[in-house]
Amino acid sequence: MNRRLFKERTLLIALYSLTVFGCLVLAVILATVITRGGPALSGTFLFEEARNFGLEGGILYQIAGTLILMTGAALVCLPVALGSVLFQTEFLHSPPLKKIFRLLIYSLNAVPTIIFGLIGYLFFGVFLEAGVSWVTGVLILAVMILPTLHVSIHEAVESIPDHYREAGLALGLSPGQQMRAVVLPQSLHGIITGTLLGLARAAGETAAIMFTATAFSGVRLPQSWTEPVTTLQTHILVLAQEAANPIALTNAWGAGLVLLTLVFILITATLWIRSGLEMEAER
Amino acid sequence: MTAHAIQLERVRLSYSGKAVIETASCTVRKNAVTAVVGPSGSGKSTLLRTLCRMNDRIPGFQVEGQVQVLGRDIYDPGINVYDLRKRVGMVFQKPCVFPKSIVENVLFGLRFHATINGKNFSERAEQALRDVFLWDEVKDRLDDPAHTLSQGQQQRLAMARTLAVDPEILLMDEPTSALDPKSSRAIEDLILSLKDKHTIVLVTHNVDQAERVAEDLICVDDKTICHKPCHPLPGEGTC
Repeated sequence: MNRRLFKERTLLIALYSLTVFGCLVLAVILATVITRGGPALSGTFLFEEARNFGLEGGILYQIAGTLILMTGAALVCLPVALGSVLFQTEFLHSPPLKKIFRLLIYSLNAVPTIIFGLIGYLFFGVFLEAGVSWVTGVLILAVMILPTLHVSIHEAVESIPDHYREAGLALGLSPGQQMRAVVLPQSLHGIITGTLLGLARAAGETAAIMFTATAFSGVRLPQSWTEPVTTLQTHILVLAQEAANPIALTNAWGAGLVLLTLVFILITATLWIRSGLEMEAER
Repeated sequence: MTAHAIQLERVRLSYSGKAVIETASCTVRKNAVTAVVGPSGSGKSTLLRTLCRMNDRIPGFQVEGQVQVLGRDIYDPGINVYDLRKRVGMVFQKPCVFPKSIVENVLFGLRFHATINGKNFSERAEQALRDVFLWDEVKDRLDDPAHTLSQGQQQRLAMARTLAVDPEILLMDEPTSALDPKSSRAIEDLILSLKDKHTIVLVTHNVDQAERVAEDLICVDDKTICHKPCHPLPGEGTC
């Protein structure tokens, strides 16, 4: 009995330690970004354009560029992900084909992002002649976040209780009507969660878009399809390379803090919307 | 014009080759209540679901023989299965209401089938709720979430949703098994009140219930069925 108690306590202590360790790592990262990036934050920093290669001015167009790429990617990806999920769940009846489809999506999730960048640039940038532009970036990011969205929406659709589907079928609804009346409303939380998680993933991406969609300086809002944007990610990367200059480093940390805040807002919104929808579903 | 709503001829039902019902031949009279009874796992529900092709989505399910519903072989490749399910409604064992308001639940199927305007929608909803004796209980809170109703009321709401589509045949798969005795009696009274307008096939494991509400009985056992009147004349046998 004592031995069992000892084992249980050891396991509990190990679990607590691991949890504390995980939280500590996160806390250290957050504290570092906030203490180092905090001094850079000001009205000028947030609402003015960068000057002197990021040493002066702010990050207005970097924030705008990041938001353009993120939102664009989500808008392009959402219908594709939704369509592929509905095809897989509502129209694809063969279990082996469903398995292959799922395998393909998971494989896509495992592809290193730089490969997305390379292939995406060759296809969208060179073959479709979009060049280094925000459109290329949006399309590459859209393909990149497709698995995240697909998996999240798929889980939501699969978790719809079978009695809802049966009730819809028994009323004589066709597959299209069933999708509109049962599948989409019941999986709305998954669609929103997936989209926001995809956005958060796109916000953190640097490698895939660095040479395909972004430029470092002299870029404002794009005026045509073929113009590049500047983003927080590339701004941080380039400023961080100026390790000898303390102003550049502070500005890099400041941009990092802004990026982190954007992602934090997205994740919080995800959790908030999800819990709201779950509460509504339970009513 | 045939007096039978449903006619089965040498029907064999199987999942991946394994027979659930080896052979079934019977008829169901129009505007009558027919109860399907038998032990658990005997295939009562499978038989019932076959009548509106609800088993189509189950991989490996196979039907042999002829299943005639409302004068047509429903497993004929030319049949419109969505139209069939509109004419042959089904109510399930567990009350299923959607996370919507009471009135939206009633109109759930109707919205996709009817070509009527908004005013008539509310009339149809009222009529369907009256048909299941629920109108007086919910008329002041039609916009409340359907989940606020009791289990018995939810089951009657599910029936109202099915009736709103105006089916000719109503299939019920143990509709009272998840309910308390009082709610069960309310459903039984409802079944009796509906038989003038609808043909009802009721699966139940409760033989007393079958005797209370049904005129005909289909007994499912040992992969076969027998078909007798529920209240036989002298000289007629029962199952």
